[in-house]
This record gives sequence, structure tokens and C-alpha cells, in this order.
Amino acid sequence: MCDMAFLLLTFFILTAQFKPETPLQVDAPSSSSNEDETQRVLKIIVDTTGRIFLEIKDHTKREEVLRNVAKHFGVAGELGKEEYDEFVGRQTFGAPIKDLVKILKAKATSNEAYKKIGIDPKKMGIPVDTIPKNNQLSWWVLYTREAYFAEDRARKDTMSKERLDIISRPTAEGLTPEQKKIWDEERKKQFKVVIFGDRNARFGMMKQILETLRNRKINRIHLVTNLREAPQAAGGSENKK
Amino acid sequence: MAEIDTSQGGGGKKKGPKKVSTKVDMTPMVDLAFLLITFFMLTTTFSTPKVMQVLMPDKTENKNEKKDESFGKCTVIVLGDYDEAKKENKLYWYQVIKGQPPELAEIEYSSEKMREFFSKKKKDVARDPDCSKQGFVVVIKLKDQARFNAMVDILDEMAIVGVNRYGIQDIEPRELDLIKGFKAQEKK
Repeated sequence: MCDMAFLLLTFFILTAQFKPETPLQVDAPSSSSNEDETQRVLKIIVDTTGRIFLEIKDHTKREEVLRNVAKHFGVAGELGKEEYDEFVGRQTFGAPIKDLVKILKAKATSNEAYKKIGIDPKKMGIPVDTIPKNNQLSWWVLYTREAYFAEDRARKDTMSKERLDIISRPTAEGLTPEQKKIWDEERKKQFKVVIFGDRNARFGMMKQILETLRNRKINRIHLVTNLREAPQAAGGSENKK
Repeated sequence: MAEIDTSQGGGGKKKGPKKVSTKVDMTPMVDLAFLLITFFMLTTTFSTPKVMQVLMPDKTENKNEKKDESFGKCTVIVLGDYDEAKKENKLYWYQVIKGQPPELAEIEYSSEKMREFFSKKKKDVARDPDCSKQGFVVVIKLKDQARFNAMVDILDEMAIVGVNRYGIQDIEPRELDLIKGFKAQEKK
């Protein structure tokens, strides 16, 4: 029994995941939505002060995306293998592309290190601008989607016609349970853009992000939320600030 | 369980100093182990973050759709603002009804009040024969300084109340004036 207890103990200690670490303090708002986040995701993180950070969840895609974005902004020549490796190893990043190059070169990870190479941490974040040329977020989104797109197309080529027909529907309405299962499955596999915004982030910033995504024809957006108990069960007794 | 056999050989004559019992009391350790197990079992959530889906209208499609003022009474326009002094979100609503100046009213910012409001409006609209075609529509317009959680809370209520047609739009200058006017009146 004692052995058993320690076995269990070790198991739980090893599997315990304390909240995934982010360099940013982001407190998601709550909702009663119970949909899980999936793997193929571009996460747009917005902190309280409105700085935008990005997370490409699948690290195998990171290098390709950076390569294309760097090429677009004409800084590809400054990046070598070491910088790419450094980028792949980073979960989140958020700086104008010129600063990002500097950060990768210096392998800076802390606020002090950023200051040392002349970057004000308060002014970090990926720039969003109403002028399309300066909207760097827009290009990150485009190239990330492209990185997933080729894979999606290859997968779709192998599918049967009926399956393609089912998954191309915008909603699951009017499908048989079996078809609905296929539809749900497909939705989970699809590339998603997820916005992980702090509950106190300004809506103005969100509006700009939503607008940027809409301009890239991404109309299905997901918001990261903490699970709040469904109102039927809790009787809606929760009071929010 | 935890005894260690220290006797050498079988039942020989006693040699050397008097033996002390080598039985170790395992109870506290097992207690601790179980305590830790319980702790980790309770704190482990195996959770992946939850997401909530939002659909935005397609930009290219949207252009063809014209505003139809006659459907104003089926549509509730929700305006959101942020009170910097009180540090809380403020919600207002109005409807566009022909021949009447728009009248703003406040919705108290709490999930119950919002739910109550939307359910009531939904029922009202469902009863109205003029609205049978397009149903209940909610248009959400938030000021730039409104907080992100206001948006999520409203969208959440939409899902709970079952409002299928809703949209997020930019706030118009005349609506900003409406909020200003409402606040001025409130002060008096």
C-alpha cells in the first residue's frame, strides 16, 4: 500500500502542470463556453497595457513563419541558423520585427536584457496599425496561416467527396449525428486564430485586431476564456466586477 | 512491513550489546504521502484552456447588406462604456423606432441583469409579428476604452440566452453623443 501511495504521488507530481508559464500577466475573462483549445493555433496575446504578443503553438512551423516574415520586411539577411533556433525555442514573442532580430541575436529574455540592447519593454509588442503596410500583425497572421494551409490542402486532397462536402459547411445544423462527428473532428483540426486577451485590455485594441483579422478574411475567431460555471447549474448567482 | 531482520543466524546465543528494536514507525510518512497525494490530485486539473467562438461578418459580403430602419424595433443596440472613476463597465441600450428620438437606458452590469434584459427583449420580439422574419438581433457597439471582459460577457450572454443574430460594430459619433447626454442627465 505504501508503495502504491508513493507511486501515485510520483505520478501526480510529475504530471502536475501549474499554469503554463507566460512572460506576461494575462488574466482571461470568464465565459461559460466549454470548447477546448486545440493544437493548430496562432495565439494573439494582449496584455493589460495593450501590447501584442504572438504564440505559434506548433514549434515546427515557427522557423518557416519567421523566415517569410523576415523576407517580407527585408531583414532576412540578418538572421542565421542560430537566430532561427533561438526563435523556435521561444514560446511567445512580441516585438517589432527590427527589434525582434536584435532580441534573437542577443538571446535576450528578461526586461533588463531588453533594456541593455536598447529596447524599452513597455514599448514592445507587435505593431498593429491602420495603415496596412505598417501592420506587422497582419503579416504574421498571413504567413502563419500559409504555413498551415499547404498541409491542410494536402490532407483535403486525400479525402472522399462526401467528407469534403460535410466539412465545408459553415455550421453543423441539419447533419446526422455521424456527419456531425466528422464535422466536429474537422473543426478541431482546423487552423485557428485565438485571442488571449486580458480582461482589462481596452476594446479599442481588440477592435484593431479583429479588423486586421477580418482584412485577412479570418472571420472565425476564438477567444480564450476561463470556464465559469454554467448558469443553469449555478443559478447565475455570480457577481462580476 | 518495515522490519529489518538484524538477527544473525538462527537463535544463537546472545552476543554483544543489547539489541534495540529496529522497527521504524511508518505511520507519519504514509500520512504525509497520502496528504501529498490528495493535494496533487485536487490541484491537478488536466485542463486545456477553453475557447469561445466569435464569428465576424465577411467584409466583402457585408457591403451589399443595407440598413433597414423599419426593422429597428426588432434590433437592440447595446452600447458599452467604461467608468474610469468607478473602474467598471457601463452598458446602455436603445432601439431605433421610426419617428421617435432614440432613448438610451442603462443595463446594470452584472450577468443576471444582462441575462434578464436579453431574455425579456427576446420574448418581446418573438411576440411581435413584424419581427418573425429576421428574429431578434443584437448589435454590440463598445467604446474604445471599454474593457475586453465587457465584450466577452455580452457574447457569453448571447450564447446563454440563445440570441443567434448578433454583431460587433464600430460605435458612431451620434451614439457617443447619446451616452454623453445620458450621463449629463443622470447628474442632474
